[in-house]
Amino acid sequence: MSAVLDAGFVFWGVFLVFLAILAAYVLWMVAVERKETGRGETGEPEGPG
Amino acid sequence: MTLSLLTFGFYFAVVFAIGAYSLSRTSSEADYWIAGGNLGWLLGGATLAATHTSAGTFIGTIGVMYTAGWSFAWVVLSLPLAYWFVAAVLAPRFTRVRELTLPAFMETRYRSPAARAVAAAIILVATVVYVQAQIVAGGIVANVAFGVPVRWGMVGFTLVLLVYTTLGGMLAVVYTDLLQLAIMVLGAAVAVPLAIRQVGGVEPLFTLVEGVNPLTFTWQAMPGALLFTMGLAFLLGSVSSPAQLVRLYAMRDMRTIRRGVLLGIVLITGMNLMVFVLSLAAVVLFPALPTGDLAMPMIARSVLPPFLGALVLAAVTAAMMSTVDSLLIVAGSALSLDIYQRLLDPGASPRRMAWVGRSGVVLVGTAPVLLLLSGVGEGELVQFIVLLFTGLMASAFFAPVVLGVYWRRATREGALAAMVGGVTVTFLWEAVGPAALDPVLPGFLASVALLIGVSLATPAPPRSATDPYFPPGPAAASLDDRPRPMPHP
Repeated sequence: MSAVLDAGFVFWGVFLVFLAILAAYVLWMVAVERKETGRGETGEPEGPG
Repeated sequence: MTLSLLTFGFYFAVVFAIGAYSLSRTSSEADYWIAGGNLGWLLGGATLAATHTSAGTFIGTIGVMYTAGWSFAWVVLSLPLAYWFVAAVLAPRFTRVRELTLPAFMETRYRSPAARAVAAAIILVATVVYVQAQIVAGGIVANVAFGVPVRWGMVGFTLVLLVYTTLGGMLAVVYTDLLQLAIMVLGAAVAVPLAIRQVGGVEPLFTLVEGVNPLTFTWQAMPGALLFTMGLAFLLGSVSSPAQLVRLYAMRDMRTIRRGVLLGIVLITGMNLMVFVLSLAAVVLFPALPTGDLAMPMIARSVLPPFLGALVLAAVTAAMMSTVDSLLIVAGSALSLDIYQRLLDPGASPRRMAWVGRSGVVLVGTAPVLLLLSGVGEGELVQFIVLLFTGLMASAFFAPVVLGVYWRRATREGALAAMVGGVTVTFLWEAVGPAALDPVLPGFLASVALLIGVSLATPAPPRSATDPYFPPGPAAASLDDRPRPMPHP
C-alpha cells in the first residue's frame, strides 16, 4: 500500500474533508428538526430555520 | 455496436414513456414548470443531483483531472458547502413566496419588470452557451458508441431531449432525472472496479499514475489561485443556478428541502469522487489522448465489456440529458413566462400559454445545436464552458438573490446594476483577463459592490416589497406555516 499512502493528503484529504462536511450537515439537520419539533410540541413559534 | 444500440434504444424508449406519462399528469402551468410544487425529498434530492451532474462531470471533470492532476478534486468540496448554504441560509427566505421562475422572483422582490426581463435575457444567453457544451459531449459519446459523426450525434441527442421535455415539462424532467441518476450511479460504480482491475490493482494504479505524471498528487499541477477561484465558481454558481433555485420552489417544504439537499450532496460528491478515480485509470491506460474530454468515452469503449461499456456511455448521456432538460425548462420558462407573457401578451389564455411554453422549450433547445452546426462554440474543453456558465450565474444572480432576501435596503437599481455589471465583468475577464484567475472572482465582486453601492445611492424599496421575505421579528412565523400563495402569473 506504500504508493497509495505516498499519494498523501492531496489524495486522502479530499475524502476525509468530505466525510467531515457530511457529518456536520447531518448534525445540523437533526438539530434544526429537533428544534422545530420542540417548538411544535410547546406551541412556540419557529424562527427562520 | 448492436449492444450499444439496444442499451440506448431501451433507455430512450423508457424516457419517451415517462414524457408521455408526465403529459397526462400535467394540467396547469405550475404542474408544467415546477411539478406542482409538491416534490418529496427523494425526487427532490435526485433531481438536484441529476441536474447538477452533467457531461461536465463525466466528460469535462475527468478531462481536467486527466490533464491537471488530483488537486482539482479539492474544487469539488465546494459543492456540499454550496448546497448546505442553500438549505440553511437561502431556501428558508427564498421560498417564502413561491414563484414559477427566478426572473419572477426578481420582479416580486424588486418590484421591477425590467429586473425580470434582464434576468430572463441572461438566463437565455447563458443557457445556450451551457447547453452547447453538453451537446458537444453528447456528440462525442455518439461518435464513440455508434461511430456516427459527432454532428449527427449532437442532433440526435437534442431531438430525444426535446421530445420528452416539451411533452411532460418539469414532471417529465424530474422522473427522467431519477432514472438517469440510477443509470449514472450504476455506470460509475461498475466502471471503477473494472478500470482498476484493468490497470492491475490499486497499488499499480498509483505507481503508474505517478510514473506518467509525477505532479498528479501534488499541489503544483494547477496554480493555487486558479484552484481557489474554480472552487469559488462552483460554490457561487451552484447557489445561484436558476435550474436549482427553481427546484426549491418545486419541493414541498423546508424539511423536504433539507433532506433532499442531503441526498443531493451525497450523490453529487460521491459521483464526482468515483469519476476522479476513473480519471486516474485513464491517465495510465491512455496517456496520450488528444483531449482530456475523450478519457471517459475511451474507458467505456476499450476497458469495459461491451454491455457495461454501453451502460457507462448511457450514463454519460443520462448525465448530459438530465442537465440539459432542466436548463431547457428554465430557459423555456424565461422565454414564455418572463418575456412573452409578462412583456408582450399579459392576457394570453392558458391554452395559448401551454403552446408558447412548449415552443419556448423547442426554441432554446434548437438554438445551441444550430449554432454548433454553423461552427460557433466548437472545440472548447467541456469543463471550461461549464465553469464559464457557473461563473456567469454567480456574477448575475448571487448578489440579487441572497442579498435580496437578507438586506431590505437592496433596490431594483442595485439589482439591475449587479446583474448587468457582474455579467459584463465576467465576460471581459474571460476575454482579456489573466487566465490564472477564473473570471468568477472579479465578476462576483463587481456584482456585490454594484448591488450595495447602487442600492445605497437610490431610494429604499417599499416595506411591502420586502416584507414577504423577512420574518417580522426574532419570534417569526414558522417557515413551513407560511402562506403558500398560488403560483403566478
